[in-house]
Amino acid sequence: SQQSSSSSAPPQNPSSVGSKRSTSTRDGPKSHDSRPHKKQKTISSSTDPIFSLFQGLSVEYERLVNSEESAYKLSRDITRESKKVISSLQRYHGKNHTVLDQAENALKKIVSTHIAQLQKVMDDYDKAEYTYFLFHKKFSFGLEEFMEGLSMYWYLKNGSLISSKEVADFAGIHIDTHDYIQGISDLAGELMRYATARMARGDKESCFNATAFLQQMYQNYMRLSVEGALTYKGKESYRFKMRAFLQSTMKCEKLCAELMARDAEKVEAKSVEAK
Amino acid sequence: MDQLITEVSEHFAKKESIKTLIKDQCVELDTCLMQFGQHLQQYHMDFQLNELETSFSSKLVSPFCKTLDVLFTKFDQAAFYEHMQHLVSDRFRRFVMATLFVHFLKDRELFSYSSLLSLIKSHLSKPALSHFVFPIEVYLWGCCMVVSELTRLALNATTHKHYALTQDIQKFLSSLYAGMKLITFKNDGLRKKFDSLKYDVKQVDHILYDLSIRQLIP
Repeated sequence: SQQSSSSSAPPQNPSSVGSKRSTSTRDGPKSHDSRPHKKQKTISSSTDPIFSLFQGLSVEYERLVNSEESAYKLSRDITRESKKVISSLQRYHGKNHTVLDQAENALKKIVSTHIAQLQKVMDDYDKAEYTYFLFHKKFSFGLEEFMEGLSMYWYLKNGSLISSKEVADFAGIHIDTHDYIQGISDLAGELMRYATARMARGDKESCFNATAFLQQMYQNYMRLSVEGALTYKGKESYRFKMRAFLQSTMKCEKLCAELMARDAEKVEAKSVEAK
Repeated sequence: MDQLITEVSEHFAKKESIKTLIKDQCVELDTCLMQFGQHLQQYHMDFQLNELETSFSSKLVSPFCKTLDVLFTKFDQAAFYEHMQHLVSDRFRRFVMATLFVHFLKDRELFSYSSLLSLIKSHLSKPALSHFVFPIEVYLWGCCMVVSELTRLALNATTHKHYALTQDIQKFLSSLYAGMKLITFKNDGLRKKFDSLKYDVKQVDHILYDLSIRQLIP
C-alpha cells in the first residue's frame, strides 16, 4: 500500500499543512526537509480567499511588530547607556569637572546614536506624527532613564532643574511631558544616593544642597497635586513616583538631621573639654 | 519651577478634558453595541436573519459610524494613539466581530479588512476620513472574537437542527483558523486569544463528529 504519492489529489482543507511536502517521503531516503512542518507560512497552491487575505495581513502585522521590537531594543540601549552616565555622575565631588564633561559627551552620544536611530525606526514605519504615540509604550522607559541622567547632570553642573526647553536646546529633541515628569521624578533616588555618598566623604555642603533641592521639588509636586494634574486618573504611576520621591526626600532630611546632631555633639564635647 | 508647574498642569488639564470628551462618545458606542447585542442574542434563539440584518444596519452600523465620525473629526491619528486607543479599541473590536458575524451569515464568507474599511469610510464625513485609523490589530481581534461567537452559534444551530449551518460554520472556522496561523503574533493579549481559538475549532469539529456518527449529516 502506498501512502500519499504525487498522484493523489490535493487536500480539500487548506489547514492540512505539510501535505505538499509529504508527497516525497516514499520516493527516497527521508531527509529533514521532507518532514511535515508544524507551521507553514505560505502554501501557494491554496486558492482559498481567506488564506490570501491573511497572507497580506501577516505582512502588514509583521512590519508593525518588527518596528515595535526595534524601538524596544533601542530603548533598552538608551536605558543601559543612561544608567552608565548616572553611575559616573555619582563620582562627582565638585572639583573633578572631567566627570561632568564625560557625562555631557555620553549624553550627546546617546542622542546622536540611539535616539536618532529610534526616530529613524518611526520614520521608516510612517513619516507621520502618530508613530510617536503608536510606539510610545515601547520606548518611554528609555526616554525616562535618559531624562533622569540628563537632569542629574544638569543639577550637578548648574544646581537647578532642567526645563523641557533646556532639554530641547541641549539634546535637540522634544520630550513628551509624561516622559519628562517621570524622568525627573526618578532623580530623587539618585540625588539621595549622591547626598549619602557625599556625606560619607565629609562633604556636608553637597548633602544639604541636595536635600534643599529635593524639598523644593517635592513642594512643587504638591502644587501639581493640588492643581489637579497628578489626580489624572489614567496614570497611577505618577502617584507611585510621588510617594517614592517623598521617601527619598525624607531619607535626605534624616541624613541632614543626623549630621547636624553629630556636629552639635562634637561642638559640645569640645566646649566641655575646653572648660 | 513656576513655569514648569504651569506647563505641566495645563498639559494634564488638557488630557483630562480630552479623555472626558472621548468617554462621552464611548457611552454612545456602548449603547449601540448593547442594542445590537440584544438582536444578536435573539438570532441565537430564532435564527431570523432578516431581522438581524435590519438591526445591524439601523442599530449598529449607522450610529456607531456616526460616533466615529464625531471622534475622528475632532481628533487626528496622533490623538487616536495618544488618547483614544485604549478607550475605543474594545468597542471597535466588538463592532468588527458583529460585522464579520452578520456578513458570514449573509454570504458565508469572511468580510475582508479592506471591505470593512470601505464600509466604515462610506459613513464618515470628509474631515473624519483624513483622520480615520483602523488598526490591523482591531481587525484581528474581531476575527478571534467571531470564532468564539460562531462556535456558540454552531451549538445553538445543532440544538435547533440547522445542521447545514453547523457544517458551514465548521468549514469557515477551519479556513479562518488556518489563515490566522499564518500570522506570527507577538506575545500579548491577542496571541493568548488566538491560542484559545483551537479549543473553539475543536469543539465545532466535535459537534460535526457527533452529528456524522449519528448519521444526521451526510
